[in-house]
Amino acid sequence: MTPLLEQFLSESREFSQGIGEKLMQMEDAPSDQGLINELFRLVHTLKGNSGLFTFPEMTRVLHAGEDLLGLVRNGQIAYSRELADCLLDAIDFVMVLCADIEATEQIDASRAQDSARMAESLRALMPAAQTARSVSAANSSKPATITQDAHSAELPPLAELPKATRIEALHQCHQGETLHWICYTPASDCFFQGDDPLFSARQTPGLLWGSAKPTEPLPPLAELDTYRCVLEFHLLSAAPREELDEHFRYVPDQVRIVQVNPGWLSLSEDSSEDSSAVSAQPVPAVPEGAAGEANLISAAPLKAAAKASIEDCAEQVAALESILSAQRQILMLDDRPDWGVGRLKAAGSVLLNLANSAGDRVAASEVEAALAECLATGQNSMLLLWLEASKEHLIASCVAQPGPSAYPASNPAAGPSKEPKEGAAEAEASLAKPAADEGIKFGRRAEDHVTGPRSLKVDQAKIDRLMNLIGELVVSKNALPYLAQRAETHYGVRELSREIKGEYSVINRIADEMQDAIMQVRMMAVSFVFQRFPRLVRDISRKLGKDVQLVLEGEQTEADKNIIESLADPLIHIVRNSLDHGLETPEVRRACGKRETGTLTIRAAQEADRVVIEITDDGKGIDPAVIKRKAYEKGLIDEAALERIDDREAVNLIFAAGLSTSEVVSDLSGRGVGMDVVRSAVQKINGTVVIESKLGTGTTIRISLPLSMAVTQVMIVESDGQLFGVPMDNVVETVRVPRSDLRAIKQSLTVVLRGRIVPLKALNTLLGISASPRVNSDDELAVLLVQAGGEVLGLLVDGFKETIGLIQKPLAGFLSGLSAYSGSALMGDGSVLMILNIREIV
Amino acid sequence: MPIEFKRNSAVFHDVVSVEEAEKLLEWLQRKPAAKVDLTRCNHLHTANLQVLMTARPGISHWPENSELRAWLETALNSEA
Repeated sequence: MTPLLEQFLSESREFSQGIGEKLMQMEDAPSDQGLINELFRLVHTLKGNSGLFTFPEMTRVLHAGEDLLGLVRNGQIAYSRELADCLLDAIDFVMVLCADIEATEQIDASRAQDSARMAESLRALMPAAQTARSVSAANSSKPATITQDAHSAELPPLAELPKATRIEALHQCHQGETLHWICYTPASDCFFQGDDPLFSARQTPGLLWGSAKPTEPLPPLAELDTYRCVLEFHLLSAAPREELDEHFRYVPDQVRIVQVNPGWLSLSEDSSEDSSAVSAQPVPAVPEGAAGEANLISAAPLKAAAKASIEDCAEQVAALESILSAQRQILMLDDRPDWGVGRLKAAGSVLLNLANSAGDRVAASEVEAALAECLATGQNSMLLLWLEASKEHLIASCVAQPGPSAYPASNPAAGPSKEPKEGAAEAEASLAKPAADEGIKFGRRAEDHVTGPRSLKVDQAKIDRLMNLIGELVVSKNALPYLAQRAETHYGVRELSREIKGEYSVINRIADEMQDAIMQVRMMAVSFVFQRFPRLVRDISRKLGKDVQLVLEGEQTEADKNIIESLADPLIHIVRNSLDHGLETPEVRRACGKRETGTLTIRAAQEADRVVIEITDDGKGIDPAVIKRKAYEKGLIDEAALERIDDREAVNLIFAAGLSTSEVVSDLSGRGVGMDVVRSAVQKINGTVVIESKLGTGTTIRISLPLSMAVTQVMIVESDGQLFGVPMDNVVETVRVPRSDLRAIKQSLTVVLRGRIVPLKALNTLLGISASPRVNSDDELAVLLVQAGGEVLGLLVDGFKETIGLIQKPLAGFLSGLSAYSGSALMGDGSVLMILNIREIV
Repeated sequence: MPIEFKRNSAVFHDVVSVEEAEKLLEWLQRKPAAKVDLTRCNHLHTANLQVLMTARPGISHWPENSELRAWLETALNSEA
């Protein structure tokens, strides 16, 4: 099931419930305009949504409901209880369809008829003028209600069938095939909906014959309206009913499907002529014995109708014989003696039922007696004997009894003239159409199994609260090891300490899982952001006259909702830049020997605990020399830097504020704000962005983001007896440097690490602490190499502690003005750890 | 061109869409004695069928597609 369909289902349920509620409220306040508007809006939205999928059954009902509510809204009809009932039924029907979709991802074609009736009953509530205008009215010449009546009474005009077709059809009937007569009356405005009724008719499955006829006298040629359909189609098909329903599922209100009774095929006006043709057809031989017993056959006149009943009888006789021989076999089985009683009972009850259905009381009592005897003795002989003796008799009496499927044989003298009517009545019954005035009910009953929605919609604030609570749990859990330590050192109870540690590991595991679970809840696929790109790329590339193919990869990659949401704007900037500056026009590309169509690839992937998004284009790339010159012109770098920085660093200068490589400012990009904004947006969510470019072959921008912002990995450092946290994202490495290696360049300290000059700064100085950095016993200084704004810098601290994951809280109130700290966190022992904002302090 | 209008005959090609119906109607109104050649026709939109049923032009050739031919023969020959 696609995410879209899932969303549709959950929304539909919500809407359906809303509609139900609103209808209930309307009962109390029938003239509340606000309610009606709301109700109309709900139905309208639901209809629109259903139109996204191929659920014509649902759309049709909702469309009728919408029309009806539209009239109520305009005050053309008054709200009434019947109207509410009808709408509630419709909504129930929609829910039934939703359940269908949930189970099978589609709506069974057999619902089409129900849907058409539902829509019709809704339209029946509208004033007549509206009904005639509405789309669903089968055709404008006949009001819908008359069509409904005509459905059941009218016999299909089989007389129009050519003789050869009719004989062929009859032949197929005799071979046990079920034929259907279809009368397809397209709506007169169907051409405007893109329908081609002739095409639909020609495509009808199992089509044996078809014809097109005008529904009204054709006008003179000069007055013909080409775009108004005045034809109707008569079709004869050998396909099963379900297939036909499926084929006509978009127009169930325009077709009438009737099962063809073999009798109708032969009993048309020219029956005498036809019956000879029928007798020429090979008719399955009727078993002698059975035929002799079934005395009605000899009495029946040898008309075609009787032929049909003979065949019915023959079929029945064959079926009965197979039933009886099966019982005999069951009785004869002796492989499992312990099953004997069960088999006796089974066979006995089959025989008993047969006798009862034949109305043969004598046989029934005989069977009962034989069964009782067999059960008493444990022998099957009595029942077998009876079966052998009374088999013929039983078959005969069964056949003689007019069963539900048998032809009315009790009155063979009635003659063929009466037959068609009875046949018609039967066909009506076999259509299993509920009486029209009863209507159809899809009401839910208490015992109905209601499938609940599988997804919940939860306010984000609730999730956040849950996350905060779990965060607190994690923190307070961390207090346990301290407690264990205290138990051992302070109170000297070693046993207790061990037990506390044991408990701690259990709580730790559960807390970790809880944290993981809540993260999962907040996870969202990047497709949420990606889905807008196809359109964006198409529009922009059109505007620029470029030919661009967009490739999206890894749309299923998930990350925290906040991360995903804050990703949207930077990505749009980058994509615009790539399209505007990166990719060339087709002419230029051809001149460079590249494919005319440029490719823009957006790829998302998860790497450890980070999400990496790469935007790659195969355009002209970035010229580092140009960037350097521009940066120098704008005063972003000085002359020394101009010489010093390598190409890679130069390319990354495009993230600096105020730099634009484009000569002209377009409405798309070139104002020099884009990439700067991208970087700050990415950094805000603790991400990094780097760019790699090769002149002439393309550019790759790589954004790396944390999976979740909830837990920050922090390294704890010590300085002047205080603990500080440094986000791991900033930490490059930790080294110990002998004091003798320090070099002073003017006022600043530096050290050469792996051939690179690294400036050093004391954390104490940065934080305004007067103490100087301490050295360890080997006269070494602890240097924490951190990355800040693309530069690596050494922080002199007193010592390194462990790294921990913690939930960072922003500084609130008066403290929020302190830019040196990005936040605070509670440690396991209850102390507060301040997290340094490296970028701000260096 | 799904319908090729010659001097006195309209030749239908492959699939004749609903857009052609208007042209066909106008043409047949101007040339009541024209004939229609359906040899290469595989399908025609219902609107065209209506025009043919109303105008009843002479059919010089029936379609080679036997299934379509059966349809058209029933539609155009009945009550004719």
